[in-house]
Amino acid sequence: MTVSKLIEKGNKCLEDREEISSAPLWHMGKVAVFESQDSFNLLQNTIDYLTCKGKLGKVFTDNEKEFMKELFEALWWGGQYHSFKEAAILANHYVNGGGEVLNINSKVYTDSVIVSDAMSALKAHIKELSSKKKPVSMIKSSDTSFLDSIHARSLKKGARSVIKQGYILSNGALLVEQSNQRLKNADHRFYLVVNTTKNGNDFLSQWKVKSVYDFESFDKGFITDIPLAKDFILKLPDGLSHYLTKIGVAKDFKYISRWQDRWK
Amino acid sequence: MELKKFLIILFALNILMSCSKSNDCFIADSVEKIEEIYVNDTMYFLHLRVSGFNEKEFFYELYDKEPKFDACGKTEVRPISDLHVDTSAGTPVKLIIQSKKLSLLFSKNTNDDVDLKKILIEVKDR
Repeated sequence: MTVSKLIEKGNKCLEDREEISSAPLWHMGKVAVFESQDSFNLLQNTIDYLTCKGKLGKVFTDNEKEFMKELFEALWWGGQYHSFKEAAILANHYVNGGGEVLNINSKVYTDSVIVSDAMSALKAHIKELSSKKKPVSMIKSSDTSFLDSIHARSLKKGARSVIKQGYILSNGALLVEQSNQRLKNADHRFYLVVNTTKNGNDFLSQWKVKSVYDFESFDKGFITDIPLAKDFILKLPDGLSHYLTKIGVAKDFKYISRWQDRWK
Repeated sequence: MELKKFLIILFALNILMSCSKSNDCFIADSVEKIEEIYVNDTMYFLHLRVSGFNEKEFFYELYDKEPKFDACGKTEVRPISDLHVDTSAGTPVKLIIQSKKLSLLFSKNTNDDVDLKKILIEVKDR
């Protein structure tokens, strides 16, 4: 690449564009159904242009802000269509939730292999603690006493298929089984917390997962691939998604899921 | 203005719903070949898989046949070894290939930073 082309590329976002694509959902639909190269180029060029502006710390125009907001709203439709409801809700809340804490459906967690196995392991740990008259009120998957116990052994890497079962990481976070698209797009790794009370022979456990929805900044260089059709994969830099919080388009937020069960 | 937006969404939704499910992943895994490694008369292909939306996870995958990936990052070829990068164990500084298995060497030094695509690779079978 010549020096003049490098300068041209570096300066491609120094001047504001007059036309910013409106209605990203419309163009995403055109790519998905008609494999429209024009619509794809329009979307990708706009994302690249806004990425360039974001990296330079420039302010977005109202149209540019609206484009990015609608892009995340379009992800809501995409998530709903692919039955990844929680991922859809989270993406939409990022640009419309004002940073408020969001409660999400527990089923997405309780259907997971690693969560189910971790619950069984934690129950065995709790039962052992209870038999030794030790407190069981608040236990985390990251507790050293649990991670070092025999009960956590079956959750560790060597014994499990990362694709079909997931596993517990060194710090006690649960890594979702990779075949579980629904959960991994909503919460890829998280700590499981359980608050248990004992009544006679029965245990009542309140399970909780608390996570933060945010994106890494430009310096990490992460990119998210959004496939719209065969050979049409939209590249959305995580840094751009993160930059939206700097210009008032999006807000990071906490999301929580709770469920309970009674067991012996 | 709001009516126009509503009509656009309604129409786009209609075509999205009617389109075939050419992909079923919503967010695709991004897979990139980072090295071709020749060991004992066999060519191996080392790939880095990046998975997830707002929380990315990383996996090294070793193949003895060159895989082709679809739009979702799926392939018919099974890796002979794969390895999740557990960053909670430290900073990965070296990828080791021994007996067709992948393993990682971690550093506890929090100042260490490594580009997973350019990680130091050591083949112990040569």
